[in-house]
Amino acid sequence: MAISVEIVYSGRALVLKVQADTLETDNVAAFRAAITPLLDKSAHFVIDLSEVEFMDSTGLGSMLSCLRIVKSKGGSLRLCSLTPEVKQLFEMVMMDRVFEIFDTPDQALAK
Amino acid sequence: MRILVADDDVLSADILIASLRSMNHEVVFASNGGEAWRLLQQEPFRLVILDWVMPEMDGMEVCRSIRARQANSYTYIILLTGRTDRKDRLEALEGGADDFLTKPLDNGELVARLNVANRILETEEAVRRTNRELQQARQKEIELGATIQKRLLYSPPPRTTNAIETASLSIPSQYVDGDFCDFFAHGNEIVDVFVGDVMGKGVPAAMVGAGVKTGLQRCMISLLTSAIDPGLPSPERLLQSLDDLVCAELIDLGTFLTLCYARFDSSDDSLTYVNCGHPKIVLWDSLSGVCRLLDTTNVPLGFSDAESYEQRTGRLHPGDLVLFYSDGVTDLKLPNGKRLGMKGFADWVENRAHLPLDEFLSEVEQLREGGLVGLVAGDDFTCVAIRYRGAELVKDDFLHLWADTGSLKKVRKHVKESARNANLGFTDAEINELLLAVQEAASNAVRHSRPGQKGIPIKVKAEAQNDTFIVELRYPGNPFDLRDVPEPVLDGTKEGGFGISIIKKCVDDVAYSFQGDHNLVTLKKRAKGS
Repeated sequence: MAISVEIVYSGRALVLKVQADTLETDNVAAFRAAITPLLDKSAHFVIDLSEVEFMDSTGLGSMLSCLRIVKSKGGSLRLCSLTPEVKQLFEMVMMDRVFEIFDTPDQALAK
Repeated sequence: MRILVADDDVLSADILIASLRSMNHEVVFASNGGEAWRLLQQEPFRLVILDWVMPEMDGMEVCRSIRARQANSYTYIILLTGRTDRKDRLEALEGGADDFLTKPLDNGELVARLNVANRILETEEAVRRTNRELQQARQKEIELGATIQKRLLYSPPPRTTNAIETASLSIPSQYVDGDFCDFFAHGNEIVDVFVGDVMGKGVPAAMVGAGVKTGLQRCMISLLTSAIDPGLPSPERLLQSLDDLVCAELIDLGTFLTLCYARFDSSDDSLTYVNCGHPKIVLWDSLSGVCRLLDTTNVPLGFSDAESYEQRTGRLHPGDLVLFYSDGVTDLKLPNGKRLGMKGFADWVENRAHLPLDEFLSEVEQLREGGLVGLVAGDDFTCVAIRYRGAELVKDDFLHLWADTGSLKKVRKHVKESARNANLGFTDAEINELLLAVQEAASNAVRHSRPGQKGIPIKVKAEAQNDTFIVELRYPGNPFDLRDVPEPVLDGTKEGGFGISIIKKCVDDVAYSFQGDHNLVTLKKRAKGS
């Protein structure tokens, strides 16, 4: 399943947009391969999940993996534009307490 | 002509050289046998005149050396000798000399001997040219045969139909032979596959193969449109019809062929086949993970004109792997020197049958490379691999499919549609919860029920019972116990371990059980409004 991660804004933080309608078992390895090199390009990141309509526990695991990598270097990672389905998953396993989640990329960058 | 003259007697050599030059021959001179041999290694003289008695190497030694070497053209050898003894001459002829010139030299005799040499060399050249032309013609025939085989005998498989996914590996031997393979797709549900191998090699075998393949197509068309009983003929009826058409001719030609004809029917998950002496079909059952060899049903075509064809039928499950192959596969030698054989091949397949077809066939190719050590690559090597997908439609209330991680989407789609159609008043968020639970359960099944394998056959049932929506997943492999699962870590320090917790939160009830030969996961959810 095709998946890519694009840098849509580059400033004090990088805004990375996940270009795929799902983030799940089938494409999570491709997602990790696409995003890992980008995590060297800055300390602060915002991941835009507006395209992702479905995420499962492996997708969630890959988000946690990104958070761990960024935090280990003293940086920050915020999420924005979650679809209702994905938001529901984050709240269900209380990951909304682990991640800083914003409605839009601008709000994520503003803080 | 360029002539090499070797003589240690300078005076006698001068006379000979002068005579040869007067006849417009080009002469190269060597003053002893050793020098003559060195010159001969640099240039393949067609005519050599050697003195018998010389230092370093005498004429006979040079003569024997010339005959012992491999050369592209013939060297005509005349020995110069004062000897007239019959025994000496016989010895010289046996050593490879073609003719003699007696010393002292007589010019008339020299002319006559050279004429003989010329005639023989011209004849030899003509024979050589004809041989070369024959060889070129033969090479052309082989290339033509290879083209016949490639174009007419090996039809490309339909890459996917609804019922099967196909990939094939075909490595022709250095010879042309009569292996062939073709497919008939009858709509989306039925696909016929047949493979054959004509006895013998070369263009005749390829022509017989092409003839039989065309014959089979003719029989199919004629039975489909038959006035008496039109419609898709059974494999046994088709083979009987082919036998009527070609058997007498095969017997007349003194040849025969093995043929395996198989029909995959996804409307009733059946495999029906007739196997006339071809290597036995290998069937890997995706439920049990075990390979079986399916029995041969008939003798090869062309053995007997009174053969009565008999078909066999078996059940297929989504994900089953069915293999057709040539004896080039079973003839491979194992490292212990034994022949691989059909049973050996089936055992080898068992551990790899779950792989995607392309990966599976590249493993087969590696098996071939390993098994060819010390073996002449004499046979065509063909392996047609078929993954039975089944209809992937809802039948008997179940969605049957061969599930790898890429097909989890199909499971979600099926459950989503069924849940919407059930009209239980589910909100979008509740449907999403249902899908999350199904995804986690199905993904766990694919990833963990058969470790190392990328797919498993899954049956999904999704239906409403009263006010409850129930999803059942059935699949083979390792049983799973909910009680073994630890509570998830929710502080973000662990990346995994959420799956079961998500399922529990998303549905009202979850149960895992093992039903004799398969796992059963039952998920139950009620709409909160109800």
